Amino acid sequence: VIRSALPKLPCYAALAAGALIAAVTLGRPELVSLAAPFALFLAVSLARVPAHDVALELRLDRERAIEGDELELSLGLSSASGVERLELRPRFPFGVEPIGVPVPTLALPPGGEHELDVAFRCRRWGAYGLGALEVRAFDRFGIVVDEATVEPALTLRVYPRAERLQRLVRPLTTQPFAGNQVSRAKGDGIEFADVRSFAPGDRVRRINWRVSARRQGLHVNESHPERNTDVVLFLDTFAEARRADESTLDRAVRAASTLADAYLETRNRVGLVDFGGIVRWLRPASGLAQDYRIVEALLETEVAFSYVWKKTDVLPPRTLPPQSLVLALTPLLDERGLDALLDLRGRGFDLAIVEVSPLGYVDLPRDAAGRLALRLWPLWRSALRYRYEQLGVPVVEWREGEPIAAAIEEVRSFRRYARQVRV
Amino acid sequence: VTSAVAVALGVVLAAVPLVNAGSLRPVVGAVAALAPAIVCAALFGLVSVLPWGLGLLAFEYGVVDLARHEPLVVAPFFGAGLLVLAELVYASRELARGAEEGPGRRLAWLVAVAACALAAAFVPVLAVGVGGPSGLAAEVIAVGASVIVLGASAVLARRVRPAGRNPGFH
Repeated sequence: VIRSALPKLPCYAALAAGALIAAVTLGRPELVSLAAPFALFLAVSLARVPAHDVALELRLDRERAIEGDELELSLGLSSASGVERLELRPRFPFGVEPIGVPVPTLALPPGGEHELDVAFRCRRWGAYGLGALEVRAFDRFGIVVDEATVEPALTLRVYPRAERLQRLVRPLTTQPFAGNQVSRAKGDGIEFADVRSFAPGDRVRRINWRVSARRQGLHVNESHPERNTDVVLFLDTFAEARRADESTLDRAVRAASTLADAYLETRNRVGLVDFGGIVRWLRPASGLAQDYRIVEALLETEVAFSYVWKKTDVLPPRTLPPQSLVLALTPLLDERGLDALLDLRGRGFDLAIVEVSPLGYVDLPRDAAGRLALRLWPLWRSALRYRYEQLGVPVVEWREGEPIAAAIEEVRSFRRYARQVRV
Repeated sequence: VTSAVAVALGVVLAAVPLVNAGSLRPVVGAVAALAPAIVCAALFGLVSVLPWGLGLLAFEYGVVDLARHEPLVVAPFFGAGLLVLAELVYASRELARGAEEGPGRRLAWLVAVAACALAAAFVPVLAVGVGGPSGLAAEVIAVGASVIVLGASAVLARRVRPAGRNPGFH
């Protein structure tokens, strides 16, 4: 606790002293009448400077929330000594904003207690330390103040709000385990694939009697088996385009959370690669636990500035299983991220890129050179997209304000009609 | 409300010496115009200039008082008014920082300060009006009173906190 004098103290002292000196030097006792109220005020106030004793208890109604949720931080205040005027200024981290009226100034009687609720809104995903407070206790006369800063004591985890996805990007190849994805291969399954001649070993129940009667020979139905797939969400965190309240990374994390949720719901294995200044990864796995693991890992995602040139060989081999579908979420801003994606395609991974468009985050330049650069930049980005498309990699521009479902649908349509290139 | 009362009080305090200024009216008038302006500036957030505003008002009063053969009889009211003006300005700034629970407490406090300030300002007037005692007994009493005042000041200065308490925020 830091105790300091308020401006009132030197002001009154100077006025009292000045009037007294003037009274003595000029021999005018009536000037003492000007000094006397200030002198009395200071004498009484300095004699009654209290020792403030304030106990704070912080509570949060929930420790986990979803973006957009409104929560309350409860402040339990008690004071044995009493406080004449208590100012509380809660400090919220970036991503959490207070709502409603500011905290009023309080008066706590000796032994009194007070309960305050401060409402706030979770604006952005992340793990936040809450409970930071600036506390200022004033004395009755307003000449000294005791100030203290309370460090954050509570942790709030705000999870990204997941969007609804009707359809997902289907992988080119599936894994051998049972799942919800209809495999392109033929085998035991429900989805009808083809009719072929009977071969020894075929089960009788698979015989298609109508076709067999028409073709004068036994024919059996073939079907597509339901398999699962390995999906790796590749998050490019080398760079981001940011406005005050939103960035490409914020949107990429939201999209990754949505995609992880959707793929895990359909019994696929989902992994995560956070490829940036700091490289983090989660090996593909399935189930609810993996969903939590991915979301928790996404909360730690940030753009860490680094000059180190990283390649995908820093990733453990089991992070990127063979024949897995790699869904990259990238703003296409950093050469290292672009190079890593080309490298993945070169290694034969089934790659699809969702470009989190940074164009909406750029302020309109005022000078001619800036405007020219802003015209050239989208052209350069188009050329870059074309380069990937030539390799059979769909690159879909996901603009601000659009749902991720639109971008996913665009990827699906590209993969349906585009020629697959073998590299 | 506190700001409006402060401005009104500032204008009144600036006008009182001006009425009695006589031939000094142009000079005192300039000071009288400047002081309420400074008070207004303090009310708009420049609290650090408030001492200058109060100082100017006191200076204006002192100049007029010195220029006259007889002292101004409003001295106690002027002194108390200066303190109440300062309290009103500080109260305005505190209220501007955030809402306060129980505005009645603030009003009671300002009334109490005004009454005490008026009482304190009248003490010198009464002291001047009473004929001073003389002789050995008076000197002994005066020395005794001085020792008591100094002793009380020393006790207040060395005041220790009660044992067993650990003040602070926790």
